[in-house]
Amino acid sequence: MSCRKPASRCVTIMDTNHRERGGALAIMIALGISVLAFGALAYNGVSALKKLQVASSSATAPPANGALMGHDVITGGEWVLPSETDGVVVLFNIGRDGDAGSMAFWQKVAMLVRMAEPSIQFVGLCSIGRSCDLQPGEKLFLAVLSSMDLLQMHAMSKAARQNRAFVYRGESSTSATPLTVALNEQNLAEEIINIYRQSRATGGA
Amino acid sequence: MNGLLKAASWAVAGLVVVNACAGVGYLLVERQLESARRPAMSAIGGKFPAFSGVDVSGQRWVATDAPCRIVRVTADSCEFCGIDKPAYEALLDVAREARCEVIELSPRAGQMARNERLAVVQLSFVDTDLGSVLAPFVAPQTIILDGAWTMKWIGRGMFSENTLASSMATVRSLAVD
Repeated sequence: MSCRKPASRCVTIMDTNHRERGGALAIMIALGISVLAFGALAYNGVSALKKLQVASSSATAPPANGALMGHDVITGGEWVLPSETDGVVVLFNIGRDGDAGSMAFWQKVAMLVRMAEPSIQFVGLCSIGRSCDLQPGEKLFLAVLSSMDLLQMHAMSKAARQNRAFVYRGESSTSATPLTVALNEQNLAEEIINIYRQSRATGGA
Repeated sequence: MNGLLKAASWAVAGLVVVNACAGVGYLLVERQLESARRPAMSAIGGKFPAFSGVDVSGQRWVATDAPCRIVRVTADSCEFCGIDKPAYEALLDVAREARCEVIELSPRAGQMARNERLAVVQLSFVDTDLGSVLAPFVAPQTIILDGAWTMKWIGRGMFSENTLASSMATVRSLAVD
């Protein structure tokens, strides 16, 4: 390093250069830390938002895939989702008498659907206080469950509040198609048949 | 060089402001997430819905008029439930002395092998939605109820020395002499 100025002045200039370099380094480190902090905050923020979306999701379906099971009121035994791949299951809450979603409503929907597609099964959850009895001599088109496991029960309870039912396709499907329980049995039956036929064409519900 | 440093300084200042805002936003989202995860009614003194169900051997189970109930959410595949087992067993001993009814539930049916023990019922299915009071996805989870299904003690996750002591004290306080 050459310096023609008096020695003391030269030392000052060298000090200043040193300080500037130190300042620049500090700014660069601060910039790096800020960018990293921004990245971490953005990553955590996005994942927290995604979790929040999932937590407040309104269309939670009970888990399917062979694990769909419960206690059958009629047979008194355990009901398990049939494993045959062609089987489509409509899962729903049985509502109050006279309402859309009552036992009589679903009996009619099941009858209409099964006339067109006999392999579609209907499984209703009969909560405490609901009337799930048949008229004398009436043929039962549904399986009626009185209880399910914790998660399924919770999902079904949520579905009941939203007036929803679900369509599952056999073991191979990983998802359920939500249905809004409409007032008209004929329309709902047609919707179920359409979902079934579309799922057969595409290979999943 | 000076210009570049000035720009970098401004960038740092800008990022500090942005990070502060992002931090506040993140905390708000986390708080919302926490309240979304927390069941609405899970407060000590609140009512737990009376439920019945079907046990792992397919038998219908109905609650007895025990002076207290312990509801335990557990699963065989849950690693923390295994680690927590000694503490839970210690609570079970106290529960038996107090003549409590112990009800074990798994989030999904089939997650609990049959393990017959005195005063313990293992349920596969329940007939009531317990999602408003239980966090059904959380195991282990322990709730102590009195004979009238009032929540007296709630524990999410494993027992610590303190929580085990307080849960035992709660059970003893509910015992009928």
